[in-house]
Amino acid sequence: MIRLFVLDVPEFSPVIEQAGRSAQSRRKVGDYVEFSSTRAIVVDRRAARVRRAVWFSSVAALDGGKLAQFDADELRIEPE
Amino acid sequence: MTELNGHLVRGVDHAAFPTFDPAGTVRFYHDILGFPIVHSVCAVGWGPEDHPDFVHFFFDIGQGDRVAFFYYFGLAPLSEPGADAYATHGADVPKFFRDSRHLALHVDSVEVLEEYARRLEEVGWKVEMRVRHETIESIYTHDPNGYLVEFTTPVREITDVDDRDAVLTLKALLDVTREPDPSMAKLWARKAQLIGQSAP
Repeated sequence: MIRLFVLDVPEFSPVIEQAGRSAQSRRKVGDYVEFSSTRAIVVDRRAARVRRAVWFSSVAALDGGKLAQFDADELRIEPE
Repeated sequence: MTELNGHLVRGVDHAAFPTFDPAGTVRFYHDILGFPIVHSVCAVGWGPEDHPDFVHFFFDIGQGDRVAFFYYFGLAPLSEPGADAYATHGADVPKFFRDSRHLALHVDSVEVLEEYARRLEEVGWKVEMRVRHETIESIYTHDPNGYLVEFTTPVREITDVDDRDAVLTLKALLDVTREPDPSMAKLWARKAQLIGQSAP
């Protein structure tokens, strides 16, 4: 089970919105939004309209998944 | 309308330095001197191909000013412990590491940021980067000595959320750098545990 945490601050809200489209569930945990999923979580940077410097620091924490892709195009986390 | 004549910088936003010893750095600035941990950025390497994953963390030094450090995953020490982590380096040291040590000057608005870009460009001095960061927007250039100088303006306030996140980042960083082969993946996994423990 992938558990992805994104800090719930304004600059990451587009990432949170996009991640919610592929993750199976989301909930608020403290200052973070936690996404859980048994299948891949995918965020398209251009769809999220996030600039690079913010994009590359948008993952706060990650457990149970591995980064299959994290470049200027896409963040893709797959189950371990 | 901001008056754009004269001396418009408002002191230091942050002065930044590279570190190979995050535990010693946190002990000195936070534990001993009592400087609050106020902000952190955990970013995967991007831009130049040799740029490693890094943690950029900030301590409050009063009046909204900050001292900041860069820790790079997988980077072997480039100087002896206790030696100045910059001055002993030649041209073979990666540019990202040389640029870790920089002075970031505060300005009050994007308009003033653009005024400084204009002053530089007017005389042909290159504004090398303009970056919208998490909480600040910045322009960068190098001074004639090769030191990176940043002009920066806040795009939002730093809040308690940022401070608490930075504390968890530093706890996770210190935990993973105590073990062999620290990496961003290990930091993220440790931070996920800490988030679970700290959530109400």
